[in-house]
Amino acid sequence: MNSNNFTMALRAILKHKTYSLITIAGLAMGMAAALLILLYIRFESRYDSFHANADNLYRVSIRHFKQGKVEGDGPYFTPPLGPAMAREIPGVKSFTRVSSARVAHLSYSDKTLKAGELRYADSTFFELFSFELLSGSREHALVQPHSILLTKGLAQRLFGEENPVGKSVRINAADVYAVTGVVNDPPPNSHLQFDALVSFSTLSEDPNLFLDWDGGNQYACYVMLESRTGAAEVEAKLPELMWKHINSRLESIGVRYEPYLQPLERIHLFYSPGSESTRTNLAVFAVVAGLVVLIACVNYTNMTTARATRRAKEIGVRKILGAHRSTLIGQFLSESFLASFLALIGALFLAELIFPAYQEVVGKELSLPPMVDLETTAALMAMFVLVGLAGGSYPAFYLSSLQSTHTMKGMTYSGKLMGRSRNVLVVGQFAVAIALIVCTGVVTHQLSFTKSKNLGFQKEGIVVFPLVGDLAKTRAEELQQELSAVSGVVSVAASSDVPSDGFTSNGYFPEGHSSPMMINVVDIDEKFLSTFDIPVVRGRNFSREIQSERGGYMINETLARELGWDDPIGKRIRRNGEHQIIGVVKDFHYATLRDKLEPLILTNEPWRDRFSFLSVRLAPGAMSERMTALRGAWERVAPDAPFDYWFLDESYDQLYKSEQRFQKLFLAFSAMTIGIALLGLLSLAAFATEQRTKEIGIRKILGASVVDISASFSKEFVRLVLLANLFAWPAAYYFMTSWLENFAYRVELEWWLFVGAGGLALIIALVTVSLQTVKAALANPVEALRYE
Amino acid sequence: MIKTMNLKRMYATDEVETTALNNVNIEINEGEFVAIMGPSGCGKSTLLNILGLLDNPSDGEYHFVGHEVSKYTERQRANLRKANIGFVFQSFNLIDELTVFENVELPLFYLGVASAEREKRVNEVLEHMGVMHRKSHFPQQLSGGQQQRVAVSRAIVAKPKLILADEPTGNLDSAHGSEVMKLLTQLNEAGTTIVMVTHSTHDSEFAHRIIHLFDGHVVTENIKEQFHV
Repeated sequence: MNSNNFTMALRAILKHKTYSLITIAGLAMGMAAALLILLYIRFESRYDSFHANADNLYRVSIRHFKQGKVEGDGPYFTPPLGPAMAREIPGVKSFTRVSSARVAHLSYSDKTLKAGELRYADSTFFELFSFELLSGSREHALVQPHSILLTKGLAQRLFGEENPVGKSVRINAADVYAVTGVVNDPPPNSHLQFDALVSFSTLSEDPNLFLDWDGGNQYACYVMLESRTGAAEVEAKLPELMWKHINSRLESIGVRYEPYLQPLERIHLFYSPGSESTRTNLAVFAVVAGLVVLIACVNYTNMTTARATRRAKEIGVRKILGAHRSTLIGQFLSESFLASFLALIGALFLAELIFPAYQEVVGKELSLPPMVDLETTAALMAMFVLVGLAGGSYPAFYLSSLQSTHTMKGMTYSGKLMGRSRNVLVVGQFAVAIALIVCTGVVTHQLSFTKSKNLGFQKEGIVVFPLVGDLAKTRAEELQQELSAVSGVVSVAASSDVPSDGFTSNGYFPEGHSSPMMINVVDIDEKFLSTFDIPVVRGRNFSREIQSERGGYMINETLARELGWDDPIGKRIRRNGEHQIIGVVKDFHYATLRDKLEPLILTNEPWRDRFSFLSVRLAPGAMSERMTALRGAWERVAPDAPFDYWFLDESYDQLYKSEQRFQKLFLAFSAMTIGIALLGLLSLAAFATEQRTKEIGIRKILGASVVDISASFSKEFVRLVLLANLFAWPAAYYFMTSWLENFAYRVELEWWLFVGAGGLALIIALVTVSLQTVKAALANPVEALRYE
Repeated sequence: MIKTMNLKRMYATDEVETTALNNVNIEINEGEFVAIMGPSGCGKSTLLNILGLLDNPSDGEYHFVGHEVSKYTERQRANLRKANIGFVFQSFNLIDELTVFENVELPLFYLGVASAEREKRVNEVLEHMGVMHRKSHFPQQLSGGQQQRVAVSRAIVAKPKLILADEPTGNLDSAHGSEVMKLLTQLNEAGTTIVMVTHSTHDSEFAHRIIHLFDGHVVTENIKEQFHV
């Protein structure tokens, strides 16, 4: 019925099925993409908000100053900080300390499992945090020494159907712990992750641990403030507290610790490692989400304006028959809002469909929120309205204002103007698409560069065995011998760490230096350099034969260069005594390529005389048999120690996971943008050829070939796509230059990446346009002329 | 009913200004059937647009049913138009997305007539025009003659005082053309004023009076005898 704009709108959509399908599909794709991106942004920005006390919870982070300069900033500090704050600063209601995560092997009856994140926590843990305790007491579960709480996941893996509460587990084949409860797995959007929690009081029973102000920096402190107390009030009292307990003693050596409070809900986005790139990603994604919706809207507007000449006649008739502008506006908006609504439904289905794949790409356990969720509904409504307005505004507000005598003749005053703005929109779409292709190319290029770059050692063919628990460490040498004997094993090296994400650092006094220098260090045995294929460029490697050199150091070329030592052999470095330099190794990348290669000291004396890793170099071939043989050898020497290993090259790939994710997302986004842009181009080309059917007929009668006609049509679109490059290139250049700055070792922005992206877009566009023009050009010209 | 005084209409394009109508003075009384003739480009359609309140003159006066309308706004014109004027076009100008019934209903809808009343009146007109059996069809499913009947139905459904017909038979074969001319004659006999632009001398013979236009001027007016068959 006329009175029913909805019926009219539905008919208009059904009448031009192909156009409608293309435009609505494009809109749906854009909306689905935006929706998925919004889910991700929502997930990232809602970390830790599930804690009931989130508003009053803070993590204490400590800035470490040395000679007035910031040397470091992190939450891990010595244990007395929390109790001191609660005791001495009014407004601090409660605190809980949580240790850094440790890898531990838990055994129950004859089963041993690896827990990647075991943490020690105070009994007040559940007073501050709202993690769900499935069984056990929130007040008492972490009170007694040697109490352990397992997460649901770990408990199920270790105990199966059995109820673990009251049972005992052994950790690292040594101490026995009583399971006092089961805690639900921490939600994925908790910055604090753990597999098991052990009572903090357990630590006090270890005579080897210093838990005083001079102890190890391994404990994060969380505080809950009284609801009326502000963080600033507490922070104002911290300098005094720190001076009293520790800073006064360190003043003479120029060291100072300055704690400050990090609001719990801001930790993930502002204070956690990589939070800066998370924020960048979020900003990029937000922009992309906006762009994708914009492009889809642009398409829709494009199509409606292209069809407007036709609608103009209809508008004319309606106006002659007495329709007022407002009536027409209502009608056109109904149409675009209906299209928007259909697209929204499509988008929801599409989002649901892509969701699992998407989750994998972003590497997060997102959840599809229920539709009743206020934020989601608001976002969906906003998209619905935006798309509805964007698509319907031109016919609704502009065409309806034209004089009926002109629109009747199909004249829309600004035919030229609209044609021009359509072109602007096409250029805009392709500019975005091309820029995204360039970005994908650069990210891919950089990734393959980091993967294939010569790191200065041979990472392929190396299996790393962590030495877990005392047993393995004390028997390291036996294990090393036994593993060496396995057929296919080239060599076995022991070390305190393996190259991947960097080594620890200590303060050293090189000869001629009065103040200490922070230098990275790794403890290795005499087999390490040969196993990793790292050449010695001066002096010699450590040797068992020369006992007098056991306390000697080796250094890398960068350190020699930084110290200005042309011949470092025989020079001395002081730390717990004097150490003579016996050799220089060629530089190798022991951290990610994001960081510059830093100076390094290699020692032959591991802490407490125990190495932490065995690295086995295997000859190529028959991997699974060799691993079986290695397991046999391992179990002969240390049957109680868990047989745990990884391949070094695989762990290297893990280092660039965030970049890989970035690359995949760019790939997905550019594919989608191109897809949407092509849908737009397809419908525009279809429209253009249809509108010029008569022209094509006349041209053919006058002797034009199919190629001539296709070429004359394609030329226009080619021009637009070429123009898009002018906008895409500088944008991509700017963005990628700043992204590459994350890498100390990076690729150049190659010109062919830009030209290639432009070329790719051009070819795809040409094929799309040709599909339409060739069809039109092949038609019988008599048919074409009959159209009139 | 219609009186124009020194009516002028100029069109300006980027390069040239053309005068489509120049000092046109015509008077048409209620109940007349007037044909406007002249070669292509003489200003027939421009005159019809102004008479039909689709366009304003550049200069001069236009009195329509007692109102001086030459300075009316689009909204004022629309209100006057929809109550008083029906249009029949050479190319029918039916809306493709609407059924026959809905096309005919449109003027009543814009006039704000209640739904039940609309249905009654549309059915009456369709019955009268002999296209009742086609009421649920879409325009493209009809023959040219049928389409023009629907267009005429739409023009008269609001019972306008004036019908403006722009070459109503131009797209029809002679049999269907005669049918439409008969319809118009019947309407005129029932009291509706009709102004028709035409190229066809055959059609013009149905009119009481012929106004000849040439280069934007009225050149002759032929008064004819009252009735034709």
